[in-house]
Amino acid sequence: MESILFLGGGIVIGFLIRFRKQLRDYVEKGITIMIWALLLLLGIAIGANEQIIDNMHVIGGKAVVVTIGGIAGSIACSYMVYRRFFKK
Amino acid sequence: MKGTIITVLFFVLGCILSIYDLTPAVLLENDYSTYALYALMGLVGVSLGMDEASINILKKVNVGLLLVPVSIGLGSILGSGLAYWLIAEPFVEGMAVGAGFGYYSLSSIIISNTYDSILGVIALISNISRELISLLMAPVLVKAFGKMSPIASAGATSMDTTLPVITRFSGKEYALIALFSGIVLTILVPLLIPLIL
Repeated sequence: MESILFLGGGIVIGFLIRFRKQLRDYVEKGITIMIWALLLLLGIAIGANEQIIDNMHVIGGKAVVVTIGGIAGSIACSYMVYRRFFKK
Repeated sequence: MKGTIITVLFFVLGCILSIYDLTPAVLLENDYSTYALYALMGLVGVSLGMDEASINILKKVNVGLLLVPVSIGLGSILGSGLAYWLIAEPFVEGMAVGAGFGYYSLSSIIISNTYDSILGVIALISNISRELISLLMAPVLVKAFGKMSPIASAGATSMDTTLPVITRFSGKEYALIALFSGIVLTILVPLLIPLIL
């Protein structure tokens, strides 16, 4: 929940400094580096947990089930919008 | 694609460090991930606030266009929740993974840091496979379910990594729709996941 506060604060700051275009590259680079760092930390936490490593095939299987559900749901829902507004 | 591979390599490197007990002591003794997450969320916010392209594209909205990302988001979240529930897991956890919309890095990081690291790994694998399936299946989806379906399947990635295939198989007139939908869904990821969990 706190993370939303940081997101909102960031949006306000970003909007205020939006004309300083030279900062944009630094922000994007910062995001990439933080993502790499956090995934490294996630990897370290996962690697230390033998239960997860031994059950990776189960976890992967669950992930694929969610993926198929998400893709099917999104296609089904947006199909109605497609029929109503876009299909000629 | 190159970006995806590099990103995944950092996760794999972390796993390897840990499995072979090579983790630097400073990382074991302190947990920096919460602060790093806040910094990341702040930076994501700054980049959204600075991005005039996304503000300008929001001005072109009409009802039909707005309903594209709304229906895709809603369908993703409910479909994922339902699928996860069908294999006897909590509906809400499935919803949170589905709310990643293919934005695997941010969704897995938010879930693992604010909720549970195993679900974070599920979000990572699920959302990477969503991007891969969308890239590979776009022509099949267009034939079976119409020109909007690759945009739905791509979720947040329809603004960058999957945009070329969508433009190719759905047609140029769908490029702007894909861009708009991807931008809206990308903005929603860091908002919806904390709200769902």
